[in-house]
Amino acid sequence: MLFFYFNRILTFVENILAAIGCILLFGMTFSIIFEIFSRAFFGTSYYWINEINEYMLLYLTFLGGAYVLRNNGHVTVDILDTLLSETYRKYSKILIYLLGIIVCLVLVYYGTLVTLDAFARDLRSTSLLAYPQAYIYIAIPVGSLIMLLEFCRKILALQFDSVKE
Amino acid sequence: DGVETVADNEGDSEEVYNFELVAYMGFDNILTKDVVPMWIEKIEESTAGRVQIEWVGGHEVIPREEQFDAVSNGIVDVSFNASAFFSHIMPEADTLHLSPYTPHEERENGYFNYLSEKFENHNLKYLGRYISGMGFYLWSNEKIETLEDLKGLSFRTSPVYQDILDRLGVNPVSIPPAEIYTAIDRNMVDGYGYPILGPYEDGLTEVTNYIINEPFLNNNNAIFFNMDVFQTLPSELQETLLKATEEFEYDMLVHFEKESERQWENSLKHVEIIDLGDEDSERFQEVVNDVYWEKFESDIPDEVDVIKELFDITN
Amino acid sequence: MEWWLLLLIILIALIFLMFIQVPVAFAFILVNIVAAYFLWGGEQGLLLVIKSVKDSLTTFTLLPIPLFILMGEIIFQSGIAPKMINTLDKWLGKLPGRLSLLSIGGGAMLSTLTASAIGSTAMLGSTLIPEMEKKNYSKEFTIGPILASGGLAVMIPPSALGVLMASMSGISVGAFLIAIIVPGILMALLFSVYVIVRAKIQPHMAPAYDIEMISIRERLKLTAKYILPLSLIILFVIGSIFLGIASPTEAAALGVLGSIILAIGYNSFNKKVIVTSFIKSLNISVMILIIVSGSKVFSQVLSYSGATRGLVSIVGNLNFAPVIILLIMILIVLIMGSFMEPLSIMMVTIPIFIPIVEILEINLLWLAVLLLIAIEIGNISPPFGIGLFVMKGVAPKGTIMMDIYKASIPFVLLNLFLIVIIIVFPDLVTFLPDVMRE
Ligand code: NA
Ligand code: NA
Repeated sequence: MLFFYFNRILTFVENILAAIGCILLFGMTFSIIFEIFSRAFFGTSYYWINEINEYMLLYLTFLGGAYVLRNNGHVTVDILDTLLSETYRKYSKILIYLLGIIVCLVLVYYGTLVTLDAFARDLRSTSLLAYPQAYIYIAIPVGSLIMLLEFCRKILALQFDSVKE
Repeated sequence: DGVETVADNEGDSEEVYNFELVAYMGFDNILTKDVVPMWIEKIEESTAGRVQIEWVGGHEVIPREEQFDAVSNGIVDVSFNASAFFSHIMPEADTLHLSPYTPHEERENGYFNYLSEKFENHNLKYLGRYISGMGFYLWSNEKIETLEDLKGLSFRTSPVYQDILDRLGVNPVSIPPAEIYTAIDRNMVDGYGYPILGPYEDGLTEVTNYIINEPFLNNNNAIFFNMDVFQTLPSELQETLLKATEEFEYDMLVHFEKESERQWENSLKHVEIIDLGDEDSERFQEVVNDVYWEKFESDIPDEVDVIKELFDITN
Repeated sequence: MEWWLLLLIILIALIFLMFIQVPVAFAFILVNIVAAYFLWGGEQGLLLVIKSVKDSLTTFTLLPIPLFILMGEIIFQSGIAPKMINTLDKWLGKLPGRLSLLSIGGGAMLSTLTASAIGSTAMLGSTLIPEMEKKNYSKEFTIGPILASGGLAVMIPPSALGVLMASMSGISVGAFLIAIIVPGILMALLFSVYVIVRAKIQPHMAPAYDIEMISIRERLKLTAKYILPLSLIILFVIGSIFLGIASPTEAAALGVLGSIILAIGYNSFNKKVIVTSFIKSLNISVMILIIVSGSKVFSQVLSYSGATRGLVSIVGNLNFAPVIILLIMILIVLIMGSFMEPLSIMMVTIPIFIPIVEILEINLLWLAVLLLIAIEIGNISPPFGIGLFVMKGVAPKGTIMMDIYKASIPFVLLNLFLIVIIIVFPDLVTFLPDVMRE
């Protein structure tokens, strides 16, 4: 029952983040087009548009990370696949997901520390926009947290599958 | 407890100290490629080999904006870095852009000590700097004879001089370094700001017509050490390091003068030099100064008076 | 610890993780984390990893990756691509391996638009593969040409990598961009000849399918309808760079605009096309960008550890004939190409290679072209390489890594052959720039 809610809420959150990712993709495209046209027709350039796009690249990547993970969209090298037995494959999956969880834990924990530090020192980007770096970094712990939960779900799903069998 | 550490280490005159150095540019850049090895050699010679320094690389090793913290946290021991890449952490560093002094004058008139204190607040030991008296120039494809001619042109910008361009009526366009060549070649922008060192090496002079002979701001470059690590050195080695870097500053004045001469010669193969005339030159420098003092007023209001006094500016 | 031992441990760890099927991106990050912890002084090192991840992704020149993918998805989802392919097909007539040729031709065409191999591979893959599958092309013939034509993006101007290579080696950028043209065209030709010959010998690889023969008039009509409008996109992207309206990176956004205008023009720009294009683009972009970030930080770790410098400086201490040293340089770059992203490879190798090359009196222009090809080979040669990973990401469901390896090998060999040709005939590189100079 608990798993049922966890499942639904996680899916919902991932979808929302993916939707934001798509909006960012849209925003990137049209902000750049806007910059090009404004320069070509009015001779005005908005230097911060390029900079904002750099941040969007980071947001996009981390917000979309969990959604892509859910759809098994992250590339693996599967050359040993055909050689392995079904049981082995199940255990190796658990190992992989655990490693994924470790990676995400580090990203969440140290990402949070870096974000808090940037916030405390009021660090700005080295550009003229002087964008607060805490707002950039925060995408890393947030996105990684959802990826962490997605790895957890994958492990849990393996258990539920074997119960069904 | 710094004294204690020194005392502890005093007796051991055989120990060899190994340090790692990163620079804001890599093994290939004209501002670092010969200079860093020259400093290392100087240090190793003057300490009779007791201090060994390994240059691990440039921003391919640690991103240049992170090197300040990396030295401060002890990930590496020394960095060669320009204020543009750490003034977001230590805004006082940007005053280097306006210093009217040579490095040795700075050591005498207190500005060196002022900066040392600021570095110390970040757990860093300021050893000195190696580029001075070398400004930025506007490189242009349009012939500029007066400041009026600049109005309405588009120039590739950098945070260092963006406000200056703005104030001069130039439209600043942001372009990644790798694409400056194409942007100039295709007339996407009319020019860019750059020191005399660089455009020839990067091939940019091939597609540039003019350089405005009006250097502005100082290129600057600081050498700083992790404070804890520095203090583990016996006091006589600390002295030697400071002394050697001071000498190095003299060497670099000569080195970059020669280098500049060579680059002027090279650049003028492709590029024509143009002058603004006395009156506009003065106005131009006024804009530069205004922009930077306003910036200091807003970023470091408490420091402005101190710096004005150090720079011997009265108003 | 000796650098070579460290290098060995790091590489074995990475290879092990990838072989047990940890997703490539996470394998990179995991190795980065462990290495950073030990090399960079514990927790401080992990904080630096986070900062480096941020710096690696907040890079404006990465922008064409999501944008070109989006452009490709819109062209494909709105059904323009299949129509275009069908029309081109009519012109190619009975040439064996038509669709594979198309991906090479498309790759060459695209390479005049794009500066990055990754973006180009991803776009071609998502556009052409579905059509090739429908026509029962073998995996080898589907994947290989697309994988290989990514390299064309770098060898045909505009090439961001080429500009960097030139400025790092101290060669004239203009001369270098001209110097890569002949090798680039040669590369495309080699690929095409191979496809035609192989398809002739083994027709089942690229089954010929019936095309109804239609009159020239009809063909021209179809061309006007489905191919000419595509030049709008080329006009947007190349034209805007050429006319100085947009920088090469920005131009990718105009490519998206062009594809949207086309889709509207064909009356096939609807909600479903929009949603599918965006979601698919998000998927592919995220997958690529995380790997790019992981491998960039990995490059940093390797550079810091002294492994890359050590490896490269070995070459400096060798007393071999110039040709042998040249081959060793190429080999080193080839190996690095499997694990590191191109820019980092250049940054560590070029400054060390150049002085050696100057002593040996090897022509710099020539060497730089050879190294650029070698970096691209490293990207697509088994078992690792960003090109391979990207391909896996856009390949049809059920494609295993072995399929991609098999497909890549002929093209790796062709590229190596190209290197040999250029070594034997240096004029291929130096001829055009010499003409330009006069
Ligand atoms: Na290209
Ligand atoms: Na490879």
